[in-house]
Amino acid sequence: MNYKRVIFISIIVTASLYSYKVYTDGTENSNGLLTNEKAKAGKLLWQEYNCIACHQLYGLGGYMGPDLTNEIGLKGKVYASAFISMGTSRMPNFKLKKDEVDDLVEYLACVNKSGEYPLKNPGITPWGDITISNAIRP
Amino acid sequence: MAAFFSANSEEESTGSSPPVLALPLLCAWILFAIKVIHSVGAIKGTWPVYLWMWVTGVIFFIITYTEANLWVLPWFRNNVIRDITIQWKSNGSLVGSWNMMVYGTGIYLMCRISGNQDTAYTKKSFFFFFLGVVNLLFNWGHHTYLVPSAPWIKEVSYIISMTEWVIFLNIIRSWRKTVSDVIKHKNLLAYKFLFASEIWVFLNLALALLMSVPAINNYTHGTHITVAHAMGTTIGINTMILMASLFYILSEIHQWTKKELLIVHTGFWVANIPLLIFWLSLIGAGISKAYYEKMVPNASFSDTMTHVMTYMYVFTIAGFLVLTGLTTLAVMGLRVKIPRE
Repeated sequence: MNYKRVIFISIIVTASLYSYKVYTDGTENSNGLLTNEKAKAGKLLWQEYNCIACHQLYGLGGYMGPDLTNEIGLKGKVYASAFISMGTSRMPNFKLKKDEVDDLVEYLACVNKSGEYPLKNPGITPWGDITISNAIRP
Repeated sequence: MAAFFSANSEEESTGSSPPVLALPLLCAWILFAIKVIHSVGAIKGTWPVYLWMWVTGVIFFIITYTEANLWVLPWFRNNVIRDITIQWKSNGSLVGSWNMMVYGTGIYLMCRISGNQDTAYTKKSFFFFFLGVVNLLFNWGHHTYLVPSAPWIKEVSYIISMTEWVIFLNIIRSWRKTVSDVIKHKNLLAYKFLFASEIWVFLNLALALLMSVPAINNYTHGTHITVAHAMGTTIGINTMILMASLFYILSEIHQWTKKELLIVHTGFWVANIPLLIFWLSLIGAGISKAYYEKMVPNASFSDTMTHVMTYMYVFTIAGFLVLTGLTTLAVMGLRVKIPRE
């Protein structure tokens, strides 16, 4: 086998092993599990309506609307249901059925349980790193 | 395949197309990769660095594009932390793969313009290529510093991201040579675009390095500063390199008139100066958003966005001007008649 092929295969194997480690140990945070069927259905609705185009989770997404990571925790399910059902002057009313609204709310409730964003008290180390209290620990 | 067809949802974060549309795109990239690898593979002996970059870029584009669609499988999407982390892992590396191909094209062009292939074979070029590969594979974690995934993902990313200081310092070190090359090649349209891309590399790398320090990222994350980084890279670096390629090819087959040159030069400046304003306005919007979110207790989302809007108006006007400049360049390129033979 020529050296070029060996180099490419080595890079691909390294990438695959690292990805496997990330998919398993790196992200196996039980706080993030969608624990029921309604939350799982809500996740698909979240994508079907492309909510991430305007909203963020953990600061990742569009900036037209607020970050929703802890919105349910702060304002409650009833408040969130009203927003989703009615829309606002800036957010369209998607005319979702009540079941669908409940599914989305359930999904956001699971997101809320998965962690905190923005961090209220990040632990900043002298070398510029930050620590997150509920991050996965070995 | 079943997951792709049954997932009644849209592609996450990368766009809004149904997942089934990812399949023809993937097939197109596989065919492109076969063509690239077949053509490049036929070249015997030591490869110049740009061939390594093209092959690596095209292979990892397919891998990371596939990874970006893993969410169609329930095991990936039914854990919030895994889903978000993998989305940003794949998207970060996907952009890195594309950049690898475009930067390879930039080096290829430099070699063609200077008529000197030696720089594509130096140890330094290969060192930067491997540094690029390492960053492509591992530095994506700076997107997810604030996601509660395992700390080692972020520590690896932090360390790897900081290796980009080497690239940054190298740009500063070779600045004098870059400027003398600009004077030497001042009449070449392609070189003008390459020089612009080098300035954008410098600005965006400086921003990326700052954003990759977790303590700073805590403030810049989730703000328009991230968008500034993405737009500066996509338009400033990649588009300028692609424009350089376009005008290099066109200049080989077409004799530009004085009037045409004037329009192309005007298009160049109309694209680049507003792009700087566009970029700075996004940074301004990001600083404003970070300030109100982090420093002003109980500031509502609408309060924060009210303060950001001024920057957004500037951003919109500058964006239209960038579009005007790039359209002018594209139209000038499309007007050139390509000889049949």
